[in-house]
Amino acid sequence: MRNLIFLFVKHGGTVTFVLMELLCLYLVVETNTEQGAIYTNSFSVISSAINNRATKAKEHFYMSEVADSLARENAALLQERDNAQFIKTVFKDSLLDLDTEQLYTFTAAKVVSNSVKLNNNSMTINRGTNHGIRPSMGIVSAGSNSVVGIVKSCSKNYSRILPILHSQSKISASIKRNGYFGGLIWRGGDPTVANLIDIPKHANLIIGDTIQTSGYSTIFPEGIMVGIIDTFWTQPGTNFYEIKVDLRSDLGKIKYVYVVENLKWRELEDLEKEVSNE
Amino acid sequence: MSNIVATNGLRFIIFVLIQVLVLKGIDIGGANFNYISIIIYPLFIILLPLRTPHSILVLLGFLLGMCIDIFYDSYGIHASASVFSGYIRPYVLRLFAPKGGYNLNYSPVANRYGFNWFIAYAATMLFLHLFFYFSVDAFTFYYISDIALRTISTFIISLLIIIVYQVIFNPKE
Repeated sequence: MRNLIFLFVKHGGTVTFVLMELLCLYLVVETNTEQGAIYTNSFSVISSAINNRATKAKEHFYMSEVADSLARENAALLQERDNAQFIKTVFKDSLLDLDTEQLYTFTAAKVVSNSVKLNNNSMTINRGTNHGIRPSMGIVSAGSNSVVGIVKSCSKNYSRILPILHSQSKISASIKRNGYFGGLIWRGGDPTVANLIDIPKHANLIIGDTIQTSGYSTIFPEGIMVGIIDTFWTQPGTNFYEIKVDLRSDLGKIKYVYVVENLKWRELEDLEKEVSNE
Repeated sequence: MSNIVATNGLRFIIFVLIQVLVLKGIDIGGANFNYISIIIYPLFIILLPLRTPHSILVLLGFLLGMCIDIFYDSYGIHASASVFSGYIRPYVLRLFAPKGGYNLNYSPVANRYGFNWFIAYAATMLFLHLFFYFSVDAFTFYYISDIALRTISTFIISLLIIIVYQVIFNPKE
């Protein structure tokens, strides 16, 4: 109480001023039609602005839920596309009636750890053997629908990815325009470019050509985008081009990915094993 | 002491009466240019004795403003401007403090501190009062150019009246 009195003695003018101005403001708004209308109007503008902000803030909290459901939906849509189907029709006569069955399935996953700065980078996603993930499945980025890497090892709930930004990663990729294919490797350094090697010298290359997955493996369906040709040159003493590829997926900010599963991988693998054993 | 109270009380009544009975009725710009009014009642706050406590200045400002408001039928508008004037008076006085400081026994009048000093002090007070008054009157800064025009035109003519008052009466207290 003493402090309160002391405060009033010291700042009495200011306290009285504030009280009196509040009283005046009340009188102005209550008794003058014009000012009252402005006050009511401004007040509703301010309150609706505050409400707007609050709603936006709430939306932000629901955002991750929405993103999860959208990722699931996208995975389902990707499975419906033609390059994820196994064509069952056997072309024996001219009458074409396409009969397809599911060849690739897509499972949405979230990236829980990631690196792009090292020479051998790694990535972890929140899906594992419990969700049907096994090593050597493909990983496709959710936003740009482009190649990210390959599953290397799995625990029950998590999987380690060998991203394209790793010295041991090698993915079969082809030039969309003419079909020549080679291996996509990464020589370290810039995480936005990779190198496509073993393209024969007689291939006609144009800067800006699209590089996509070749489909010559059980990992990725054909036609998943990898990037575009930045520059190319011949390796001295060889008959092959080396192409610098601008990667489509920005691994530095990747959040959601799809795990691609080939439903006929065992069959294909067994067959190829048989051939190599002979 | 009672002399000062009586002088200021009388001044209060006279300024209010002049303001609401004479000056309120004067219409200078006509219907086409109603930007000019004459407002001299802040002179009461300007001339209050230097030793008046800060909170009393504010309260007297409120009382003065409400008396004007009753006749102008605009409860709170003149009052808020007068409260503001009462509140800023010590700060404006500090701005124009003479070399030796103020003698708290006197009122801030030209008789003590010089004609030029008084006009500068009174003009600052009047201008701030008018700007605040027209701002509250418009109740939005959307019409800021309108507020500025009203403030400046009213300020010029009101200051003339105050100078005339000063020259004729030259208040001692």
